[in-house]
Amino acid sequence: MPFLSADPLDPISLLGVVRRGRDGGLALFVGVVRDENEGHRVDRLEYEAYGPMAEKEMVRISTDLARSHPDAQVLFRHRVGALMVGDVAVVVAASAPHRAEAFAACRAGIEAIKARVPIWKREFGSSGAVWVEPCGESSHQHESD
Amino acid sequence: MKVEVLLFASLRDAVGRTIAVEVPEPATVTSLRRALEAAHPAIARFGTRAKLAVNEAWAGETDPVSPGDTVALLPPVAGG
Repeated sequence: MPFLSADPLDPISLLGVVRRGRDGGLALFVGVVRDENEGHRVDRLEYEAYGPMAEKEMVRISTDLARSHPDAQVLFRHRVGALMVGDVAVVVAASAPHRAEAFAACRAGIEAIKARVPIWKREFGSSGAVWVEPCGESSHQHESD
Repeated sequence: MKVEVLLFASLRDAVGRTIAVEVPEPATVTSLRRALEAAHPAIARFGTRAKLAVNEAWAGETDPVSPGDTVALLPPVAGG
């Protein structure tokens, strides 16, 4: 199943897929579109991916997580396309025998996704249209839209 | 050799969907980066914040770039 989805994500169904009979702890991270960023209003976001590379990079992240967190199983999905405030952008579900490993694997998953997967988001709101950059940097390209 | 480079997000808006540059062989990520920066001031402004991917994987600065490789120049990623 592809990691990128143009359709809405269902966090609970991913939890249902990731859990195994031997697992006593399930951890779920859900990233949603916020209504503000750095003090200005956000109406919607458009997520763009370098699709073929993003899919491959997420396979590599899965492989790395299986190695770094061998007791856990981690699944994740990322949305692309136009998202409104409150929409789910990313889901990471982790399952492990105990909570510490489930939390750790889930955290490692979202951090790897944010650092490594070639996905970008363009924010539309009170500041016009802006490509969002990590660490609070943004290259402003004001447009009337 | 001529290398065609895919661009995404803010880099695509600034420069275009693809660009082609001439790079002496044997080429590396660094020599390709220099050629791209010389050809397009918008790319030079990104500096090393723009990362190169070769064959759909992140590439290091000393990695080779060979004829026929799929090459992309990517602005800082912002998923999640």
